[in-house]
Amino acid sequence: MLDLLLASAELAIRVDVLVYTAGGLLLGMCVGAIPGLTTTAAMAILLPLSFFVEPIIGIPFLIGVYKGGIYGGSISAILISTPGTGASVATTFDGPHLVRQGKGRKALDMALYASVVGDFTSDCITIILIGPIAALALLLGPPELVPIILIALLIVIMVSSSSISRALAMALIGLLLASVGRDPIEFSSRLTFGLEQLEQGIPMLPMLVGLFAVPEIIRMIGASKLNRLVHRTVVDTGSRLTLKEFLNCARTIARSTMIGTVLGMIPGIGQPVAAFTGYAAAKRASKDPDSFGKGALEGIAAAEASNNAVNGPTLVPMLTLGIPGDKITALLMGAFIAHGLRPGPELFEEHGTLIMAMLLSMLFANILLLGVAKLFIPIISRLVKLSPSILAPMVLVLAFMGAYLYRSDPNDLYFLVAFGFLGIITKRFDYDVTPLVLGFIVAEPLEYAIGQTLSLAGPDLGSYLLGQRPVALTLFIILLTLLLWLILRKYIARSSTRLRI
Amino acid sequence: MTAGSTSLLAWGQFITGVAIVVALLFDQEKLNSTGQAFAAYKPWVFPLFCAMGLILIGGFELVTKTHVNPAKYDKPNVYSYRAGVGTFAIMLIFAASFEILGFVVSSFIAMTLLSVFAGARNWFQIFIFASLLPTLLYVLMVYIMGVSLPAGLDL
Repeated sequence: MLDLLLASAELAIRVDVLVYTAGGLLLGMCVGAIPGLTTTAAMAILLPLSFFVEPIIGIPFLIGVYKGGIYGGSISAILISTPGTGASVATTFDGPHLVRQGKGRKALDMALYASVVGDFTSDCITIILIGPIAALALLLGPPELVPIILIALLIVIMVSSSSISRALAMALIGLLLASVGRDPIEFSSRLTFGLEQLEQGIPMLPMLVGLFAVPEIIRMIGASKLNRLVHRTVVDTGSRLTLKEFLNCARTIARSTMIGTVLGMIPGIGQPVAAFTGYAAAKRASKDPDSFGKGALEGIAAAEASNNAVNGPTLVPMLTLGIPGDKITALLMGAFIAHGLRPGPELFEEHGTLIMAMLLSMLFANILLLGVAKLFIPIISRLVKLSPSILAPMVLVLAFMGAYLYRSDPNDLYFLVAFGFLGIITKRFDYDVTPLVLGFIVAEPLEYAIGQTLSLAGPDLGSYLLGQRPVALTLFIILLTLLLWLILRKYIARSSTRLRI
Repeated sequence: MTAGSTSLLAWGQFITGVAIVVALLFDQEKLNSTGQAFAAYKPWVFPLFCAMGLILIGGFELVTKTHVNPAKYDKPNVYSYRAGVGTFAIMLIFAASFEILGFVVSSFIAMTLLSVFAGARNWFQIFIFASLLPTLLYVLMVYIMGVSLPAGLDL
């Protein structure tokens, strides 16, 4: 174990790795700070850039974008009351009040320190836990993987922002889209409708760029036409945060970090939920709950520590089981696959040193974030005023370049436009694309595991599970219980309301 | 958004599911005959189940009218049809001209069109921005990172 850690640390502290990670952090912070550009869109656009370097450089670069983006969202949330990302919505409750009180600098400092502490601690927990979880995952065979993947998909559907039926429809569309082209078992061509361009299946990257970046472009254009993006000057940011003020919030930061870490391990929960939960817990535990929402530094600390604490643990199900919990981990998983590293139980066995190095680079990224943010906050604060008429064309060119670079195939640009259309339809009609992306990514391992399970089981699947695979059987029972609860919960809620009346 | 457009989406799900089932049934014989590695598994089974699920959900939404909730859509709409149609037209021009005109020229055209469409009227700023960014990206990608981007006509 020590040898593995030392070898991984040697890789993680390479100068080029640190430079790329710092570059990713800076890019992420810029993107996160600009209202109207999401971290997900930025990750999708920058994904192809990571393909042209070694995985040990490319993946930490993307992790840098991710971490920088989540932190960057708090800058615009504090300064102009506009959350740069969904993760920083809870930061808008107190940040703008502090700016109006002349304590903007304190708020930005608190957001940075709470983010770094929360993220660093949760990354340490991730590194400690991921080894045993990966070892456990190795004991799982195809019959166990099938219900695990389905349970993860079901959880993402349940916590989706759209209705259950819509989320389910999106997951099925994702599974169907992944079925186009060659099947993973027999390699026979299906659902290509005679089109040669579909033989290799639907390219993941143009799909992701189209789904995430194109709706952002149209939103920016729409907002600029409706004059919705208000440009305000950044007010005087005031004096720095003192050590005493930081220590006063230490307990809140510790609590929020734990909340974020636990919630981060559950697929589909994500930063916004963690931030709200951390904020609510801090308010409940505070001696002065009335100050929350009126400019409490504790509120900023709670929201930022919990949303950043999600970053590391979300990678646990992705790396150990090959199940991405949200859009960003789905994009990261895309990067892993593009680098020839298929996340799943065997990943640690085959590429242990590399994966541990990537995890360690997450830790170093937190320390780098401190330096990069301290240096660039004054410049990044100005980005919140960037006009959408400049931003939208910039995103368009980067999106097209990214989609083309994936395979150097001009047809991929049409895939991008088509998925952009799907993305805008889903946004317009309140369909959440997360289940679609997750469905698309897990379809291949799911279908392969189903095929293997059927082959292993022979004609009698029931007796095979009952006699030889008790863990798989238990997981299938959990899956069925979840399904039943999903179907019957409305009726249960209705009958319990009636009983109360 | 109206209830009509949401029911159109439910119909869309339903019809897509039916179309995929039909396509798979037509392909079934061909798919059955390929490969024998996993005799218990046939390549059409997985998409067939997904398509049937889509039919069921579309049908459920149409029957129960759960898709009809106009009050939910009273929020202001930044995904306007005009912004959507204009941007998609520019994107299609960009995609079509990407290889023919090359990355720099096609990006210049697309950026100029989109800036104007977004309401920018400072022509000097538009020109500088639309020419500098693609050129910088091209130099960065092709000459520094060694990646290929289309140069366009005889360049």
